[in-house]
Amino acid sequence: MSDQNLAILYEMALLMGSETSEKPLVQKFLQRLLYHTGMPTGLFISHIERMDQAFSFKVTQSIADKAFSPDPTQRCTLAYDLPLRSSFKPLDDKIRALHTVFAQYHSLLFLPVGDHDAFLLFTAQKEQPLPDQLFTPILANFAKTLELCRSNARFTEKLQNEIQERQRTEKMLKLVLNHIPAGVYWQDTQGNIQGANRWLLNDLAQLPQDEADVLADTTDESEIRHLQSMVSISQLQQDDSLVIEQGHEIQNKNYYLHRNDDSYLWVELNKVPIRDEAQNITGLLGTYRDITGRKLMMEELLHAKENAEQANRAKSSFLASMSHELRTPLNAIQGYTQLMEMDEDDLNEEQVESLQEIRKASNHLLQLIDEILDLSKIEAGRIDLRIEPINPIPVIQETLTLNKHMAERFGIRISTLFPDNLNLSIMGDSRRVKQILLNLVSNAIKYNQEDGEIRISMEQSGTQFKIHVTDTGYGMTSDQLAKLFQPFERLGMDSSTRQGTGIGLVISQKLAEAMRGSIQVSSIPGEGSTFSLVLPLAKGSQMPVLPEKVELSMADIISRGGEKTTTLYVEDNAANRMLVEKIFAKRRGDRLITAATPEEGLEILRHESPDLVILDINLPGMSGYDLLRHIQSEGLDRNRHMVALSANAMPEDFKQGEAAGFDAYITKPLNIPEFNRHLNTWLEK
Amino acid sequence: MTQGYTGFIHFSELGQDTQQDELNQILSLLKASGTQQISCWLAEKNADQIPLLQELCKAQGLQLVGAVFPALIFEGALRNEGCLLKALPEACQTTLISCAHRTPDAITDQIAQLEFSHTGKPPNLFLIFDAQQPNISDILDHLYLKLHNNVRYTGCNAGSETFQPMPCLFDQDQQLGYGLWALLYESEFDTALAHGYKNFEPITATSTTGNRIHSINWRNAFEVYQEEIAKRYQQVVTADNFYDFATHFPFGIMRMSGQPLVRIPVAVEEDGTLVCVGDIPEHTVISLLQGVEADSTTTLDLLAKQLGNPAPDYQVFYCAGRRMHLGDETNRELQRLTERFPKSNLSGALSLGEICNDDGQGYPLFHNAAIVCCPWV
Repeated sequence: MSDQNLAILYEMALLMGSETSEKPLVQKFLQRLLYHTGMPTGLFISHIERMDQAFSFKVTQSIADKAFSPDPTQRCTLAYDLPLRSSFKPLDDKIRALHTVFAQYHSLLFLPVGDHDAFLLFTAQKEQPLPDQLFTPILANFAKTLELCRSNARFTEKLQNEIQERQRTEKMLKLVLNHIPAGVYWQDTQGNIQGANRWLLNDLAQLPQDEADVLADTTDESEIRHLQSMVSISQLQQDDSLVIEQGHEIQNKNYYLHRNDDSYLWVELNKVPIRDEAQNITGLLGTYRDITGRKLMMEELLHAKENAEQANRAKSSFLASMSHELRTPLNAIQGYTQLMEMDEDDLNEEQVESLQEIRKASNHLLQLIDEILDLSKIEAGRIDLRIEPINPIPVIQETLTLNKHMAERFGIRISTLFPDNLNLSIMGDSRRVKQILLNLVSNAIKYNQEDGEIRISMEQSGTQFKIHVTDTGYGMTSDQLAKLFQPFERLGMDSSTRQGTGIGLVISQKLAEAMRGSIQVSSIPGEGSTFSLVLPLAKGSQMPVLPEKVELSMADIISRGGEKTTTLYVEDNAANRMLVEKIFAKRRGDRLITAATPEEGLEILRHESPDLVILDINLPGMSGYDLLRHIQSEGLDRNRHMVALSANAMPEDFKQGEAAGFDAYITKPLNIPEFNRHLNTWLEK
Repeated sequence: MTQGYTGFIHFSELGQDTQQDELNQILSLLKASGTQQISCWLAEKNADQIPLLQELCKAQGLQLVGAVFPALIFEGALRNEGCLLKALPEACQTTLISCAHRTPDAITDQIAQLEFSHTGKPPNLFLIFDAQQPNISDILDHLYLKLHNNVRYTGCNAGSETFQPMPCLFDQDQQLGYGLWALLYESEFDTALAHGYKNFEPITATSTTGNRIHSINWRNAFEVYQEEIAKRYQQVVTADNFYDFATHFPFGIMRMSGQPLVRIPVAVEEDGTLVCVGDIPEHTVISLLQGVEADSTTTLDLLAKQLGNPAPDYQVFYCAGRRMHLGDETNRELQRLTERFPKSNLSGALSLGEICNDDGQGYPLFHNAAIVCCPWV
């Protein structure tokens, strides 16, 4: 090879080194090939696939007549045996057929570039201008450069895609950052703010929207200084040392911030350290939510709660007061009525009937007071339940016993249908279950037809146990059923002779629900109704065994205690004192000493040694509790029962009495038989 | 007086009034014979006659295209003054283009708008550039990418031999510099270009900008030139005598096939940059050439070989740099050229660069120091 050609090849090699992408590289190389060979037309073909006696390719670049405009996406196939090495050949008709512009040429210089690319140079000359293999070394070099360019293009494209994706992500993050309803800022370890989102700028700096947009997109030093100078920012940075120096995260901490315009806000702030690859802390990221509205609402709610509690306390106080004030006179009414009934033989028939009416009326009034208190307690969620596995049978039996006289008075027959071998227990408070059943059975009696019937039956339904009370009453329409559980709704019975408060069923339903049960009702007008108490079955519990209850007659009740006893009763109300004196007068061997004031009672105690001390609670000057403390302080309560007798009948009164040290707490009005039973117990020696 | 007519006017032999009469008479005769457009080569010395020519042509209703050259060729000799008029057939298409502030793409678009239909061989696209136009090679490359082999390229550069800018191109209405003049015509005869310069071992122009060579073999271009001359001719080249040597020992851009492209350096700058006529692509392999010898037949042989069957009429463009090299021998070479083609009518001009492609195909190449023979209409 001549020095000249060697130098030209060197020149072309230098040319290759000056290009980094495929298109200009091929274009310049093709131009130089045409320039040096003097050939007029050149193609660069790519994606060559060699087949048997044929090859296919794409023309990606050309320097040729403008009539020839190759489509780089179109694959051409020629039935031509493409040589493997550089070759100068007469032009084949098959290649001429590629396009009419090639018809004028006589020869082709084929210059392969690697295995899949080649230059095709066309000339009208028939003689070979240059040695076939002149370009072989430079083409080998060109092939490597081309591959480098393509690889570069692939990497560049991949990189560009990644950059685009990153830009998209960054744009999206910026969009999110600037539109989330929270303040975001970041700072270096020295506390210098590095950036902030639009929300923060609007919120703390209270910049106009346009200016905030600019600030959020750029971090101009003067704008950051403006941000840094805000009072609220320095307040936000209070606990930064925890994050910057110790690497702690601060979660949901409340800060009270002042804006520069003297307005304020409450924020809930999170701070996390920003770390570099080596986990060194390089700054802090802070985010906050404005909770001013929430704080104000909480303050309002607290205020409302306090008001509600105050109102509730007032209501409770009213109820307690009402209960006490009603029970006190009722105690006298019921007590004296009972005393007079005990001397029934001295009364004529009309007087007996009158006493019965007084007793019924006072009973009704007492029941009304008790039920109103019950309902208010249930509605206030203050009902105390002792839910445990109970055997339903004794409860039902006790209920029936208690209603026996009433049923007889109304001429109602009660039948029970208990399943054999009933050996299960239900979950409930036995006292409240009995209260519900008493209500259902008494209603069945009161609203039954003359000579009607009541049937008590039971049913196990899955995990529930149902006690049905079925009557043969007048039944109810669907309209009546809809109003059944409304307080004071007596379904048109208000003017009837049947007594009732209209809230018993409501209480029963609420008590059943409090025990995770319910009251179900079905009724057919003219035929009767069935009320069912539904309660959950106890799981795997054994039916508790109840002790045999011994029924005592009235004579038994007042004849117990044959030995001499002394009882001190401290009561300021003269009527009540007199009532208890009369009760004791009928008890043989039991002496009663009464005192009208606490001081008097205390003085008696110091000199007498009663077996039982009964104290009223609402005493003048000194409450029953104070008096008890005095008694206890002097040791005068030893070896004797200390009993409270009060018209205060709220649950907390019972608790207070127990806590104060009373052995028992009984309420007015007195049920004389019940009172006598208690006395028997307390005075038994 | 019809097609093929060549009229030469010696202005120096005519008085002021007579010049106009003589011109008017020739133009009248051309018009009377049915000529619609004429070409006019004007010696640089008579460039002031352009307005008169334009005025007379407009008066006669003739379309005029022309250019100013350092000298004219007529009857086998150089003429430093005068005017060479040729009738152009109606079928010729001409366009005068200002290149100032226009891209090569826009310039060549205007040429591509000519109608290129032909019946026989591809038509000749004859181009005359203002020699001051800086990017002639670039324009030629663009032209080839648009017209490819649909034309045969030929042409030369016009202007002043002093290389001072002047409006050297004109038609009947305007006169402009920094432009080009294109003539498209059909001819069954071939074009030829040759220079006969011999080349030495190659060197590389490692840093170039357009027509300026900053470094050769990564060294100061002027220093390398000085060393090459000293090595071969034991002569000391300085900035002052540089041009005297450069015309005799120009550079050649090497090609694997075909003649090298001569690049005559015309000036040396303070930093050693050599300024050439015609551009030199970066990393181009160049060679120091030895100018043709006065009695060499190489050039004429090459021309004869390319021309084959001679045409009856040729426009010959003879490089001014070649004349600088041959000096008084120039007319002898022209005489021998005339004698070599006895049946052909030769006339033309002293040019500042020559354009032709190889064997009528491929890229149009810009040469220096060459003789180009264009078959004329």
